[in-house]
Amino acid sequence: MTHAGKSKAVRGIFYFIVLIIVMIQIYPIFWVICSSLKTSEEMTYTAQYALPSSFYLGNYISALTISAIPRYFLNSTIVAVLTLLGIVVLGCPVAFVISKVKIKHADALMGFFLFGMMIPIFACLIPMFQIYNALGLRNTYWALVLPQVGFGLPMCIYLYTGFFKFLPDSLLEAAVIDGAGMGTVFWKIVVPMAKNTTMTVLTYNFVFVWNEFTYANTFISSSEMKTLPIGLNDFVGQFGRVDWGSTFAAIVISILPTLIVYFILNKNIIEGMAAGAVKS
Amino acid sequence: MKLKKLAAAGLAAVMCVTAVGCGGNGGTGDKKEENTQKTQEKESGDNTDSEDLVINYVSARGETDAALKTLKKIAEMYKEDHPGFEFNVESIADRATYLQKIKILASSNELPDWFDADPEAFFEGICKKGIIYSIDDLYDELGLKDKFFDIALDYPKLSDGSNYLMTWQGNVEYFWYHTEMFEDAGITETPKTLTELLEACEKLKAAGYTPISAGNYDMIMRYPAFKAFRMAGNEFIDNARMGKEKFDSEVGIATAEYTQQISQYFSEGWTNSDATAQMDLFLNKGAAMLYTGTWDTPDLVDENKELKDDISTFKLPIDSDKDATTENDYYANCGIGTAVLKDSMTPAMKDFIKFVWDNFADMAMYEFDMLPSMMPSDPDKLPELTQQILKDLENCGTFAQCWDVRLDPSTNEVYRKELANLGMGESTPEEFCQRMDEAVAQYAPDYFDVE
Amino acid sequence: MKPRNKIQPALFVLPAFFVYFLTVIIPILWSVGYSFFSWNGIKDMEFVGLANYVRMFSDGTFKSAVVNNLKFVLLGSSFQLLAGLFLAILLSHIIKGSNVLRVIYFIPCIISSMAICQIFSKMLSAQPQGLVCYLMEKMGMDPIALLANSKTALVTITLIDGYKYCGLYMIIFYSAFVSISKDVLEASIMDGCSLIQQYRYIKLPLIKNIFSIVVVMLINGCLKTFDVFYILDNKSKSTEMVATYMYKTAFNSADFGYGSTLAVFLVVECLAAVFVIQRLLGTAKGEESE
Repeated sequence: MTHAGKSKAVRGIFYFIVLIIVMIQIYPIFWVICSSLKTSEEMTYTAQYALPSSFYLGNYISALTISAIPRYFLNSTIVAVLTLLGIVVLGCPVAFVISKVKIKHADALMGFFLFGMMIPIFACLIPMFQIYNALGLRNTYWALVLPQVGFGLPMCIYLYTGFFKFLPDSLLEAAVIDGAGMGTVFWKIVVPMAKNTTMTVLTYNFVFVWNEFTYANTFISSSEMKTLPIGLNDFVGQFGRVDWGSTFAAIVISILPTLIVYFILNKNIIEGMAAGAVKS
Repeated sequence: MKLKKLAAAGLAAVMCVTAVGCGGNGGTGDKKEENTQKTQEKESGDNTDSEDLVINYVSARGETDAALKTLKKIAEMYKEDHPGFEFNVESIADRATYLQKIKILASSNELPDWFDADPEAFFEGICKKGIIYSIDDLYDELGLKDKFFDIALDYPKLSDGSNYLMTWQGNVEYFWYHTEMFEDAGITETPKTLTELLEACEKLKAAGYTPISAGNYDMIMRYPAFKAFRMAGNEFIDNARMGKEKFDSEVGIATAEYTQQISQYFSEGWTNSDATAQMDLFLNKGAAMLYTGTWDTPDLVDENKELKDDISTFKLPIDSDKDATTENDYYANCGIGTAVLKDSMTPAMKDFIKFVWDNFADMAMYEFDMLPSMMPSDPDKLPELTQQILKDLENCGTFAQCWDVRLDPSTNEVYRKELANLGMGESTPEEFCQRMDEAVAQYAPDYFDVE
Repeated sequence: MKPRNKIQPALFVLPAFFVYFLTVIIPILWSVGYSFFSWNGIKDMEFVGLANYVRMFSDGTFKSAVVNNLKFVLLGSSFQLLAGLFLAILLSHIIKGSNVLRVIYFIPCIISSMAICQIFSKMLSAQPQGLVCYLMEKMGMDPIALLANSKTALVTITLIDGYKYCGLYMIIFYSAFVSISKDVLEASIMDGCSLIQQYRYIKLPLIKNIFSIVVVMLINGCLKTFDVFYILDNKSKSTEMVATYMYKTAFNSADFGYGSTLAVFLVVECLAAVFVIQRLLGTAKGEESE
């Protein structure tokens, strides 16, 4: 994408704006890292925007000793992977049937699933607790995965149907004429073409699944099953006094791997998204 | 692609099966198993053998909390002689999160063996269902009662005088202040009356200081009670919460007016500050006074356990000589208490609790530096300040009730909100009192027997 | 395409249907049931009919929460939409290092709300002085506690919430821009289209469909907004949202019946809002299932 007619000045201003935004977006993580390197004395007695005076690692040590961050990280990862898989594996076929297969009541089915988007999760907390408790699912990964899959499905189906709308019917019909069944058409043609949408669905849901707090707090009580957002509460002391140093250290420990993974996958994510983003 | 399909189909199948209710896999420490274990234990008769004692404790205390650390350590000691003993703690330090969880557990009849509570209306409702073991009875059975500070037995009492909570700590609340700022502002004596407190604030403000560091909303909710406690004692709130006394009364209005006046002297942005910011501001000499309890002492003392810098303390001032309460009556509390389910109170449980109290006070004081709810041995060896606090704890006459603990949960929500409106000058004292009365009329009958 | 038999489409739909039914539909119906009862979790449930609904419409806190929430929907969704779009446009004009920039722009989305809120409450705090108040003072203004002051709190929290989530919409817009065929753009440049004209007449119309998706996502998210408002609450009425009020009613006040009533209101409100948006944007849901 070249813009031959642009003067250098315009280009300069453009990069200046980009730089400012980068600084704004990067500031929180910079701030968290700085704060995690401060001693508690420093936290109290210096301005919160001051840089740390030394490279103090005590917060990291206490974060890792007070709470089992690696364990929480593993739990969060397992829950995220299962949830994302569940959403895509269950949601994509439904969207396919709704938009590409001639069935009765497709509209009603779509409406039924979209209804879930309107429901605030807290509304369901008490019934859910009673159901999962009766089924013996408390303190299992399923108690976290199932509701998130259920509540993730509407948006997933919505995004997929948005894409399938633009998938030419002729393409599918041609395959059917060649003798392909519905399963083959779905797995061999539709799924690969929807790669981009899949990436959108995954990215969108990952953000929410990774930070999910309510279900984890409600359904999990064993410390071996805690997820990261719950784990951050390990540092709240008496009468609401929070050990912020350790909390920030824990946040840094929990963000970095995510950022690294995201950085590596990022190219694929965007390419995937771009390749399949709604063509019109 | 085939493999992928297979995997996907398999996963979907597993998920469906689980959803339909085959579940219970994947989790460690599965509650269901524990429950069956517990029932089995009960079925096998009165099992005095403590080998099987398993305590599930949902605690409102954080992992770093001294009382919880003490308990865990005692549990470890106990385990040495009782190999089958388990003390499983789920710690939820964030109070709002904790209360949410307890409410869900209570409404689903899934309360754990031990859980934490304040003597408030929701907990009172749980006790009335007869599922909590009376701590009065327990202490009598174990012969522990006279060991505690009076307040440790009085503070957790419900409105009918019964007690269902073990309390672990002793706390006294003070105004902590910077003597230099007071001198600088020309205040020669610490305020003796509530009016003098306002005058002191005005002088400090004129001298360019922020008079009061405020941020911890639990502490801010004390201010409205100051005036009422002095004028009418705890009776005011105990009656007003049930509608037997109106907030829209002489005492109520005077109280609201005083609250509005003093909140003008709070640090900027107090409605959404927090306990840490409040302490930081005070320690940095950003404000002259701080009202908080002795649980904050570790921040206020130096390495010799004596007060830092120029910090000193004074107690809650009186109002006038016509007061219902004297300067020996002030805010003191025992922190959040712990309840034990009736069904879990086996002889083995009693044995463990006896063991806990035999060791608790000294270990809490000498190992984890926390003031316990009973006098530790050898108090003379303790630092001067600690001795002073222990003395105040022992000598406290009538301790003031916290409004947020006495009000029913729904009215309490209204109280939190209306207090912010009142303090920020968005409503008048009369409006505040009217809204409180409306809330009490609407909600209190659900919780209290209002005649 | 036509299915060969009736079973095949059912096999595609049923697993999702079951999970969705069990995890979403049953609990919400259960909750709707609670809304006709007065229940605090420990006492026996008492059937009160529509009393909770009557109470809702005369509840002052509820009314102000609805008004606040609508303000937030308007402000918040337009801010996030514009910020997301703006970032996406900037990003699509960067050739070198756009990979790194995309990660950076996405950072606030990944950090937990609790951390983001803590950072902002420290930055905006007046006492102890945070960065923003420090700058205000340097510029000769009277520092105000933006988050505590009931006049500024709503707008401030709206911006913080937008800051946290705009990266998400940036990614969606960006991938839409990237997917626009290069031929179309080159042709337009040949025709002498300026950059602004390019967006006005080609790029934005081409991603119209994405717009409607994003708007629905935004309005929905804003109506149900919870976490940032809950954490940065200034206790007074000025920052109360319907979802935070519902949460406090149910879990702080243990008033599960009335809490469920508020939840039902929220569901109806979301349905109505989405219906209106779909009408306005002229893409009724039904069309997608041709």
